Amino acid sequence: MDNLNDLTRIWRSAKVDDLPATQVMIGFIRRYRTGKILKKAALVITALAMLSLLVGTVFYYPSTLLTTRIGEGCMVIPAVILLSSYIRSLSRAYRLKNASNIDFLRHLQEGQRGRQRYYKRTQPVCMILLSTGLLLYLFEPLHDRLSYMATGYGLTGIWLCMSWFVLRPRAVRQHEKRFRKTLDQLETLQNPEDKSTLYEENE
Amino acid sequence: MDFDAIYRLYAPQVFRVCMGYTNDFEQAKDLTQETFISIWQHLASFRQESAMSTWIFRIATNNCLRANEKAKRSRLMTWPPDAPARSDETQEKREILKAEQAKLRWLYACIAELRETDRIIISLALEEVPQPEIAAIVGLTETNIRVKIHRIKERLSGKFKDHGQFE
Repeated sequence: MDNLNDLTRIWRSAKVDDLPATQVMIGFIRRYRTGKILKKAALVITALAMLSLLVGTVFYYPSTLLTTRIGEGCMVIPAVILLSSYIRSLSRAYRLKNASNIDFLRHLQEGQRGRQRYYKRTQPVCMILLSTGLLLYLFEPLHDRLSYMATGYGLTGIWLCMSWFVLRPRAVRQHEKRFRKTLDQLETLQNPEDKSTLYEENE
Repeated sequence: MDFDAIYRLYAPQVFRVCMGYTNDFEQAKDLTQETFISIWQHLASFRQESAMSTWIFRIATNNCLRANEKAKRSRLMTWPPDAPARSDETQEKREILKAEQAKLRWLYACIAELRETDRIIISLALEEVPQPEIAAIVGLTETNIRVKIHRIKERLSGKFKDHGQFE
C-alpha cells in the first residue's frame, strides 16, 4: 500500500458540503464588510469629533486662565498621536495582504514589538499629558469654590489613580503575557531546521 | 476568474487546509469565510504576480497564523456531526464510512501535533499544491520544503502504522 497516496485519500475524504453556498457567502461578505467599514468609520469619526471638540473649545471657550489653555494643549497632543498611530497600523496591515508566511510572521513580530513600545513609551507619555491636561483644564471651572475643587479634583484623582495603578498595569501584564507567548511561537515558526518532535513529545 | 468560480474551486481546498491547521471544524469554517472575505475585498487588486492559488493559500494560511496569534478562541475542538446513516446503505458501507472518519480524525490529530509551519506545509502538500508554490506561500526555499514534506510524511505514515491504520 502506498502510504502517501493513502494520506492524501484520507485528507480528501473531509466533509466540505457544510460550507455555505456562493450566494450566501457573498451576502455574508457584504454584511461583514459593511459592519467592518461602519465600525472603522465610527472609530475614526469619534476620534475626530473628540479632537474637533477639544480644538473648538480652545477657540470658543472664553477662558481667562493660562492653565486652561495649557490643559487643552496637553489633551490635544495625545489625541493626535493616537489617531495617527491607528491610521499607520491600518495602512501597515493593508500593505501586507499578499505577503508570504515568513514576511507576515515578521510583520506580526514587529507589530508585537510596536505594541510593546506603545505600552512602555507612547502610552505613559500620552497618559501623563492627558492627566496633566485634565488637572489643569479643571482648575478654571473649579477654582471659585473650595468645595467644588475638593469634589472635582477628588473624583479626578481617584479616576487617574485607578487608570495609573490598576487599569494600566493590568493591561500591560496581559500584553506582556501575550507578547511572550507569541514570541515563543514565532521563534518556533522561524526555526529553519525541522526539529519536529512528533514522537518524542508524545511517547 | 470571477468570485463565484474562485469560491467553488477553492473553498473546499481552503477549508481542508484550515482544518489541518486548526483541527477544529467551526474555527476552520470561520477561517475559510474570513479568507474569502479577504479574497473578495482584494480580488480587483490582485496583480497576477503569482499564481491565483498561491495568492489564495497565502491569505488562508496567514489567516490561520493570525488566528493563532490572537488566540482568542478556546481550544475546545469541534467536529462536524457524523452523517446520519441512510436506509439504503448497507451495514458494510456504514462500517467503511465510520472507519474512514476515524482515520481522518487520526490524521488531523497527528497534524495538530506538528509545529505551525509544518502543519501548513503538510496541509498544502496533501492538497497537492506544487512544491514551488508551497515555497512561495511559506517563504522558504524549495529544497527546504522538499525535505520538510518528506520528513513530515514519513512521520505521519509511521504514526499511522503504529496506530494500525495501514496494513
